[in-house]
Amino acid sequence: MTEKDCPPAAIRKQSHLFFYLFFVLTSCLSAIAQDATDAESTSSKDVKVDVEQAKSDAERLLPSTAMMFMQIAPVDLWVNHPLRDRIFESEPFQQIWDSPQVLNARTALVAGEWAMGMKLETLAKRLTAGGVYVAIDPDTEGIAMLMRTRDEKWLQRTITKLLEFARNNQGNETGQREIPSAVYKGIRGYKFQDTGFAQLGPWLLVTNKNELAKSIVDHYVDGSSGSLADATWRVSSTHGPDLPREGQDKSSIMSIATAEVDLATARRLFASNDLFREQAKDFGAELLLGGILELLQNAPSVAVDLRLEPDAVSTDISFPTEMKWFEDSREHYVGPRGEGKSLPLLAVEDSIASLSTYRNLSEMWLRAGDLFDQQVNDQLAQADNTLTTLFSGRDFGTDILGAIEPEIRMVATPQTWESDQAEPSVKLPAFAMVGKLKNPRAMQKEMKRIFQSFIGFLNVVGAMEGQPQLDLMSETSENSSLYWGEYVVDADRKYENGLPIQFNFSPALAFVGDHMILSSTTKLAKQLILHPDRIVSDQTSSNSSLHTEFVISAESVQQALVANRDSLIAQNMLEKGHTRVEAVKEIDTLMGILELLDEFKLEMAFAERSMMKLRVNYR
Amino acid sequence: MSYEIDPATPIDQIDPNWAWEPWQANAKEPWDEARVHLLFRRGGFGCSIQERDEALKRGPQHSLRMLYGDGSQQLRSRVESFEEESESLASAVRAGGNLEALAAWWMHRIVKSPSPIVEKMTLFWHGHFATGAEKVIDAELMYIQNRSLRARAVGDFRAMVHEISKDPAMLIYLDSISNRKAHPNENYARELMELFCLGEGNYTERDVQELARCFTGWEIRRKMFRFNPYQHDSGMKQILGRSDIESGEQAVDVVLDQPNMPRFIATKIFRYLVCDEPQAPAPLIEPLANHFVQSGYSIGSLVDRILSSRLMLSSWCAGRKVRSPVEFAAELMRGLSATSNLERVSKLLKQLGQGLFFPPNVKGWEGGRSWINSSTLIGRANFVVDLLADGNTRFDGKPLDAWCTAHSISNNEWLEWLERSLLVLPLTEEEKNRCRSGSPATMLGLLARNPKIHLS
Repeated sequence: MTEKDCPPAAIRKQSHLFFYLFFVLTSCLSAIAQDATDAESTSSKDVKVDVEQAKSDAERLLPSTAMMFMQIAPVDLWVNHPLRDRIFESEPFQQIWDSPQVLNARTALVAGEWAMGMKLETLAKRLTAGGVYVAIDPDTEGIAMLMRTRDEKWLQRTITKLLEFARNNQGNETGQREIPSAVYKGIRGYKFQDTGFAQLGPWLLVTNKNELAKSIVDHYVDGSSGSLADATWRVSSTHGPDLPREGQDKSSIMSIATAEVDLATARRLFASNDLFREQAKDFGAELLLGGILELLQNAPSVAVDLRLEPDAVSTDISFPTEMKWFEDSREHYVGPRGEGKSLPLLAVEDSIASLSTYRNLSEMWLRAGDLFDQQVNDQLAQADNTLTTLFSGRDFGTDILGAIEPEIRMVATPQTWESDQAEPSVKLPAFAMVGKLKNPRAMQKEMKRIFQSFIGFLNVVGAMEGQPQLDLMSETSENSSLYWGEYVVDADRKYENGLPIQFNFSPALAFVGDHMILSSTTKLAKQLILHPDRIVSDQTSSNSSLHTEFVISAESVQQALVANRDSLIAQNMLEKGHTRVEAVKEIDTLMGILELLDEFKLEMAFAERSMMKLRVNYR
Repeated sequence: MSYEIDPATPIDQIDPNWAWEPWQANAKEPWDEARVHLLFRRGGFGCSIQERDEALKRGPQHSLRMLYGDGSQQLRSRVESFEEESESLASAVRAGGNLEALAAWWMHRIVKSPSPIVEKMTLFWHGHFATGAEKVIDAELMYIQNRSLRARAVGDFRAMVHEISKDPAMLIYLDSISNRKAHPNENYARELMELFCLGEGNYTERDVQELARCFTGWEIRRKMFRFNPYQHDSGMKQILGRSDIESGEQAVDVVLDQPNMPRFIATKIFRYLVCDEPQAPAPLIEPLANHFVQSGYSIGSLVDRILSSRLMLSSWCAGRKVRSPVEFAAELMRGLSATSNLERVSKLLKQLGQGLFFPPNVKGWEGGRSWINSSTLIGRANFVVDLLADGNTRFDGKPLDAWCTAHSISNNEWLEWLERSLLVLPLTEEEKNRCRSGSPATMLGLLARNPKIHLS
């Protein structure tokens, strides 16, 4: 097989090219370091470039065969975002900033800036005055970067300096001063190591393939047709309606990078990739990502938009969608006609994570034959038998999972122990799932009995293995009933290393109205039934278009990690060979990074244009 | 009497009276680097540059104390803080209940402990009272046994045998969770005599049956030892010529009182510390066995006698052992003050045939030549390459090149330094030329292909 016949491998190699591109950019910066006279003298006269026009021009220069197009906004637009100051002022950043490795780089940078009489930031702003445009072209196995600089003359001087620098550099190393170059249609291109570059008017072109460079020059010189602007797949990738933004002022949101990918070509090139396979190999992945996998297998394109907001960084991912894709096998994920919607998140104080989603688990269980490969199906058949036995002969897929409505909510919270209470050595968060019963009158009794059997089963298995035993208890009130098991501390036993991990659990089952709560701890179950209105409400929130909403609180995650700090330090020492001091430093830096963050949020909606929004709020 | 011995002297011609006298430096046989390395290899897992320098300066007796983490206030404080750190590590590892993490924790002790002789002997007893985690499964029980072996590793042998006889992990491994008077389980009784105390040929099948009766009622319930009087055969038993035995404890004492017990243990420790083969003749072992008895069965005393002896520190001793995988890895790491991903190191050691907590069977690791075959030779060379390539591997917190620079070891001197520190037999010029290429790491990787690196 020739290299040409095997595009996926070739495309994978492209990742290395980013390093080359970065290298050339860095070289360029260094090259003009000597240009002190040019430096600040014109800084106040920086030319404004029309970015929209530059983007349109870049699309006309790049070939239509490109399968990925990325636009990075001019550095000038986003470099002074308030987030930069927050990061710079943070303790973890300061630690990294003052580390010996970074100090060396800082020294070199200062020397470079001194030599050029210009700040690195100024230089980056001028190079990217009209934005940076990157394309991956599978036909030539090439990657190209076009930088729209502030003007042609400035770029010419910059390239002259770059060449001088490269010649000196090469001369010192090899004794050869000449930089290989060639002229094509009047444009001179240069080759430095494996990377070629050329000036096309105010554009700086950097690429790794001659063929790709020629194609771009063709478009530049001849204005020939067949450019990326005409690519049919891009018609579908333009951005659609946005997800609701909780009353946020859209003008405060700044897009700093966008990317569009031709998924049809990606599927052709990476046919063996699990993401594009029709049958999943992993039950967990299917459960979590089934709908997204369906999109990846059918959507013609995907668009990604990275944005800066005053207090957050967010990424929108959108796919043009047709609901018929889901009908055959993944209706359980999006609901009939894609109308499956999530309920409002459970409001629990100090929660680590909260999830609300639509997932018809019963349907998924019964569709397993189509969704999974043979191996997973065999395992599921085995699990089905065991679970049916555990649930007293009730069919697990139909009777148990089928008894719960598909709107599911889950929540996780850190656990605390009283000061006079023995603690488990590993402290796990508590978690609970809330679902609505389809036939509450019949199912409440059934579920209660199954729960009692489950506790008995745990006790029998635990007794055989010398594990602690659960004491079964219950409590009923006007609005709710609660059943739970509580591990009993064995008075005869020495727990010299803290209580075993089981003491993180006191499994509980509760009923509030038509809703059922399954919780890993009684404390969390009680916390949930304390506010029945939060659980029972069937009203969808203002985000009623959402299919999934998932929130993680950085502060609570940090709290959970702090509770297990010793374990994390030990793990770090054994896995990285660190001393205790080094391990403590690394773990504390991780905690420090979490201190910068406030919340991580994922929202998903399936409609004509399916959207995913990842948002990280910082403090 | 001459201090010297011809390295080619057959083992049965070594004068036992000469062999076990304390070694003393003289003009012909000075306390030199080779002897320091020999002592630290056999009594521990090699030494760092700092330990070597201190040992050279302070002499053999002080060096022996160094192996125990003794000899100076500074060393004693290091032991104290190391134990505190190791305890906290163990606590976190036990909470996770992961056997791989537990093996990494022990490897951490082996590579870092300031009292390496304790780890060396704990490893010996782990092979002697072999208990495999693949059957016990429970990491906590393996930890408890390991802690118990460590506590007695250089202590009272009799107390150790009594303790191991009631150790949950041991009894689970030997299928002795329950031992009823109607069906006495002979497994532990047999291994106690054959593998742990006396050796084959020093008991009869009748002794096994009678000893098993003594252990009836010894059970493991909820991971703890329990004596069940209702299942104990309280009749009198006749074991090894004694007819007044009733309890399991008395029976263990009878086994320990057998005259062959000190010889059996001394022979095994001799083989572990001094020489893999041939087997030591009885006259050479006799003084050690007598010493063991006179010291009240003190393992430490026996080990000290061996390590400080003329035979141990003679040129005869050098190169008479094959490094086990753990010794191979630990000596390399201690010698270069290396740290790395110890979970990965432990996994690789398992592939090389010595997984900590995973001895191959109840007889433990055979040792000696059995460590080496064409596959493990390649495996060991690959281990060194893997270790050096691992991004987590650092030498005193530095890359290997920087470590060499910090110790003023130039590229030209590096091979000679390795030869002196890690090898017992000198390299030929041809062998040196084969290794002299590229960076320190490359040279070390090439040296790892030379079979001489596996001799201790």
